[in-house]
Amino acid sequence: MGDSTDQVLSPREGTAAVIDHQERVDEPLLRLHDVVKHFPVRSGARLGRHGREVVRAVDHVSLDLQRGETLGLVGETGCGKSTLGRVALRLLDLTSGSVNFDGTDLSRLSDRRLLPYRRQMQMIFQDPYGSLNGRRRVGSIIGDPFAIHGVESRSARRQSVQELMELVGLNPEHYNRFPAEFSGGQRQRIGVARALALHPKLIVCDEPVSALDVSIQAQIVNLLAGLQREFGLTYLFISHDLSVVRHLCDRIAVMYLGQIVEIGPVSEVAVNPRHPYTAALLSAVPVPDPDAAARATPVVLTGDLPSPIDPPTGCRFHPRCPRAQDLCRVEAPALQIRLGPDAAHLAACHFPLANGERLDGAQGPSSDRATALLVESLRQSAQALVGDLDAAPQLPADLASEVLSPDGQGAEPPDAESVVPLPGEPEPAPARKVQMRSPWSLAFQRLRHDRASIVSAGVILSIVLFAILAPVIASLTGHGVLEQFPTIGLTPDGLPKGPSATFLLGTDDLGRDLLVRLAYGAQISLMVGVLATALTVFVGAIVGLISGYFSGLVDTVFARVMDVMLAIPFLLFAISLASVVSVTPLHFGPVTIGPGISIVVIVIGIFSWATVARIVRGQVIAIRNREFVEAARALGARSWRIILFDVLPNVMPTIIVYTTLLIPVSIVSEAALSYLGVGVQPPTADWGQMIAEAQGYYQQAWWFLTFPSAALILTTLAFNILGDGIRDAIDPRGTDFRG
Amino acid sequence: MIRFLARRIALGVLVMWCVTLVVFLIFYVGPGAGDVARALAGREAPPSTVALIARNLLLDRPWYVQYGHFLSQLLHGNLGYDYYNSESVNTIIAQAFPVTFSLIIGAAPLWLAFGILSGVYSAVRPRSLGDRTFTGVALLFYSTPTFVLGVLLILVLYYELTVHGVSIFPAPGYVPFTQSPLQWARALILPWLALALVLAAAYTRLTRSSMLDVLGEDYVRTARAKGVPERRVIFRHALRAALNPIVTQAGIDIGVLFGGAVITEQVFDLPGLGWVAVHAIQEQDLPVIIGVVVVASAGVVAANLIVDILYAVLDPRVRLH
Repeated sequence: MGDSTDQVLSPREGTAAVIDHQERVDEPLLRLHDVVKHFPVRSGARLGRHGREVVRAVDHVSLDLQRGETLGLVGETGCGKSTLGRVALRLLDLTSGSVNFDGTDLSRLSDRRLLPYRRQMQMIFQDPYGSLNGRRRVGSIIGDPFAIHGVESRSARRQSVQELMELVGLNPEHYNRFPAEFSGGQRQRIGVARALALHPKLIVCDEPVSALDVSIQAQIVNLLAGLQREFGLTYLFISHDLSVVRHLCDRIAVMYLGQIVEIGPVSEVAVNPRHPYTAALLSAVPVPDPDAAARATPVVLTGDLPSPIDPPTGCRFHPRCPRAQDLCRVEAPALQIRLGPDAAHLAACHFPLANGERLDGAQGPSSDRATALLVESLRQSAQALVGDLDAAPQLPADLASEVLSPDGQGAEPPDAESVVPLPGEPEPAPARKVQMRSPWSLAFQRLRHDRASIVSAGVILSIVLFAILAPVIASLTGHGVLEQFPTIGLTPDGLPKGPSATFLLGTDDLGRDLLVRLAYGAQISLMVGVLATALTVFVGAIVGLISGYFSGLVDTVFARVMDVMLAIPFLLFAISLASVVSVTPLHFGPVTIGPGISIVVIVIGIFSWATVARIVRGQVIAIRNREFVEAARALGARSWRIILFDVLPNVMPTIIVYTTLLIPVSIVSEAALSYLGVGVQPPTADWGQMIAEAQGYYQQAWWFLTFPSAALILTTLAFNILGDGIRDAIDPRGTDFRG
Repeated sequence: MIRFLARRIALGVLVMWCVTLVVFLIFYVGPGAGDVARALAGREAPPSTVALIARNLLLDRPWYVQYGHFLSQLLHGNLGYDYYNSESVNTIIAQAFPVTFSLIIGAAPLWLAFGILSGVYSAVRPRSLGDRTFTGVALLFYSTPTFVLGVLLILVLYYELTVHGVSIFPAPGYVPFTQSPLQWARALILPWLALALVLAAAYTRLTRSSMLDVLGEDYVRTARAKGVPERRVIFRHALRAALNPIVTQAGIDIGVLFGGAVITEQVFDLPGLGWVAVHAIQEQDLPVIIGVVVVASAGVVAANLIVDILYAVLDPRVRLH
């Protein structure tokens, strides 16, 4: 393809050492010029310390990518290849340098201006499990690009998504399934479909097959090759697997410690490596032929990969290089043309290997033969890798999709992996039934089998009914909630009367019917419990989402506020606030917050949102770095969309569990405030208040104390059991959400 | 280590400062100067007396003047004077603190022992009768508000027993330790129980889930495989790793209690910090309220600091910096 017009710039000086061998056919699709990406190091002490340390993830890299070619970017873990791929897509901001895509400099564009370009460049991720949002259906995941860019109407979207699914070899009928119902290879196909949706020109493949089984690797590699021919795609193929790269790529660029050390056509680099590092890498590729393997002794490099915070002087490879000399320690070599038949083959080395020379310095007795063996073994390893599907790249485009159709997935049993294991479920439902179920319906199914939860739900329902029917109970007994019965409701000494036919649960100190007051008290408890929890969770979740998603200043401020809120002695403050307001109501325009339910709800909300916010924030921070969030950003999704569609559904289980467990806490808090006399004010019926009043009569009237206490305990107990049940159902592993 | 301490203490002071500011603001938007001065002067007092009282207490000055005055006093270790009796807040707190401290010193070992031991047992023998009993009882107490449990304990263990001639537990009240250690302990048994049972329930649940997680780890299996005695596996290998969340929770709980076990003290009529605070709040006695809040926040801040240091003790991987 376009490897005859390679243009490579020397890394250090950054001068435009452009080497033009033939007339330019056209501009390269992607041109990275002197790209630098440094990450600041966060050490424990943020203040001071000797300057700022940075990780030099990518250090002065220049690279051109021609239209329709596949450039393999190889190197060890941590060499900066993934960072370079993300910089190329502007998923990361550049420290310096420029990214030129199809004639436009993207390096300084704002997110909004970048949006049109996001359609033209896409990414396929390494982890087929992390790169798909497990809480969204496949159709919605693949349709995301359409939704974000608003290119298809809702009705047309389904059609397009199913076409895409067919194109990548998925069964379009699985449109409504969840990612968990697919195997690793199938999930990777979903990722490919998503990347293809908007017909991009460039796709950065970040180790797209390294998480897959070898046989499935071959399928995906062939799929990518087929799609490239069909759509004229350009790939930047990041991998640490030289065999895959050799099979798929036109050119190879080898990275070491943030820099490109060698670049050239695959046939050159893989056969005649010039840089000692490349040679060492190649010698480590396993050779399937035992005879050849015995002859091709791998070069084992000494020493560890140096720290990218403080890279070695001169040539970065010199501490580990068997050929290093004094010059290497002082002067960094530029990426320059070296001898060789192909002028596009460059290496950054002062003392590169000669054609066919082996790294150990000693020339093999018959170097040509050794090279031939090496080439042969590489070819064999590549063939073993891709198996009998090796011929696929030669297939015509329309045949490729047939080969890769769902029926052709012989090597990949579709059902074995797609059934979700359900630990903790008493009797696993048949596999057929489990499929097509969302995580929510699975959780609901588990909950239905939990007897304690069902009973608690029944108890809660009864209490709710009791509260709702309070006026009915009052009219049936003929006793109003505030009505005092000094003659029939009190003993001659003026003490409460015990349970009787007239007063089923007895009377209180003012001769009022305890049953009626309990029913009205239930209204207050439930209302405050639900409202205060809703307020707490609402505020806490929003703050947690925002604080966790946007790191930096916003997060720092919110985190500090949370610290302060958590260090505040809750009850003291709640009492203070409630007591102040109970003396002088606050006026906010038309809204008056006086003693009563509203102040109790607000006080509880003010002092408990921070707990929820802290937990949500922790979860969001973990989710923020998952690949599916990065995938959404690569598609050009705005922050609010990512928070709403990708982050929130994954935090939802925590929020729901927390909500259920917070309701009893809020109910108890309300009762405690009223018990202390700063909550709901008399004569309103309230459980906490009744207990406080009953405390003066416990020697004479046990019922007065016992019934409100029992009602309170029963309510909180039921909510707690149900909350535990929901937690177990949502997360069967039994992780404690309160942690 | 010193850097760490310095930073954390500075942060703690900042938090406490925020807290005092917030209390000040809460009460400034509250009833304000006139009410307190009028209440102090009495119903019949002429306006001039009210104004005089207000001026003496700085109540007629803007809130930031009052706050500045309070801060400068605080820096001299003086928390100010009670509005009503001109009693030193330092003295009031010094009298109330031993009561709260007595409550914590007895309750904390009880609830930690109950909670952790039952939690470990439940995790080691999951689904056994013992586990079901412990988790069931824990759930019950976890759902019981302190004031309900306290009042019920008084009703059953004090009143009903005493009425039937068994007077083991005394009526609510407090006896100083210096007066009679035995009576002190006797007077505090019920409050200790009330506080410990409710808190222990949370620790049983926490320990159980934390231990279950750890017992599933590979290194526990390795320890068993190499023949480490089961007791040692549980207490040395598993419990030590499972303690982290428990230590965090204990730090928070004990720290908050130093601001007064508000409810427990109220139920059992113990004149500790929480009791003092509730009464001061009812009287809008700002200096006393702030005094208690300062002590309470200091308790929370100190407890958090101790928890962080304990992390490093429990887990050698944690370094303080």
